[in-house]
Amino acid sequence: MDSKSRLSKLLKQLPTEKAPERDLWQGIELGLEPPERSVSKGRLLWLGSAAALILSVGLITPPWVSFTPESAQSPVQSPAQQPFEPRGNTEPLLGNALVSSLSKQHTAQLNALLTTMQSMPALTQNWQQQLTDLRQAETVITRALKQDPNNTALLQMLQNVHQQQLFLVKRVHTPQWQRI
Amino acid sequence: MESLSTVNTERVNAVPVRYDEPLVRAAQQGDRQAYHALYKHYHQRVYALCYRLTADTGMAEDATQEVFIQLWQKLKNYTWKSRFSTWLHSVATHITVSYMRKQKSWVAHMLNIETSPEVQALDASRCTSEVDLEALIIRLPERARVVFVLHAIEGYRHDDIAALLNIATGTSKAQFHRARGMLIKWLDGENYGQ
Repeated sequence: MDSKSRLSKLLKQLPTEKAPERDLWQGIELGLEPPERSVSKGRLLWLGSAAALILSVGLITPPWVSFTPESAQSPVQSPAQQPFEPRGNTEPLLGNALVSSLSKQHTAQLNALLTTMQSMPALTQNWQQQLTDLRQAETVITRALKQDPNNTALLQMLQNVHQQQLFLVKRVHTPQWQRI
Repeated sequence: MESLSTVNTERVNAVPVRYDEPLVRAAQQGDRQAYHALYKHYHQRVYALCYRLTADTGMAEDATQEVFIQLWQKLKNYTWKSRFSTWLHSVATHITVSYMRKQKSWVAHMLNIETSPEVQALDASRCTSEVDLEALIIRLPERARVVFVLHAIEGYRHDDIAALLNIATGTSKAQFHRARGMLIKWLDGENYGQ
């Protein structure tokens, strides 16, 4: 292989990430100032952002039917399909009870999926980090729901982040030829 | 910022999952925990960019901190017209170049002085059969390195690099070819340290 080709090959192999030698967050956190936005304006923007997210997610949500593991008892459904009530319960849940139910149901689905996929090789190396980030996003939304438990935009956002977790685990463990 | 959107998005977004949307939206509302999660996810990519541009661990760390401090205020300007990672990369590039401009030594280098011989000299003992391209890039002269990193690794066009660095487009192309030529020579195992 000549040096030009070798250089091209090495460039493609160049890692996209590099870890700093020290923790940089502490210094960053000290430098953070409150965002330049009033509370009321922020509240409006938050609701607007949530609505935009739901709209965009609704447009891009793929069919979820095919990737539910056999060990999971309930299929994963899109936000529009999934009712806000646990299976076998005719009384719809509200508020914190609903959030708790959704979280428990999701945890069971995710654990079942992870168990099914654990023997399969992952296509990317950092999927667990991405899953951790998604779990943190879930934590943020859940915390917001504690302040406003009947906010449907937040509830749908929670369902969305749940589905993204399942989608991520499924995607990184699906062989390339099956994704074509 | 978003006009410079020619960064190599495939490198940045290996798995196109919209996992960061809730975090970005929460951070835009001032949620520091969400912003910390974004930092944890992206800081190694930003640091890699800063390190390759500055060729110095300490400067790269300072620049990375500068990026995330300024990004906190700039988050409100993100309008979802491009992927967040693409926008972040563009913002990080601009902030890092600005940071480097503030360093007197960098200005001197960019204007008329090439990288000092001790930095440019290549430690041939490190060049085993497993070539460390990163180490070679870091040893490029500063002007050539910055242009090479932005064009060959980050995917910027020469026009955008010229605007970013306040140089002529032809100068950007010339520096890129110079850097590429040096790397090819070094890969050939010739002229180490020149």
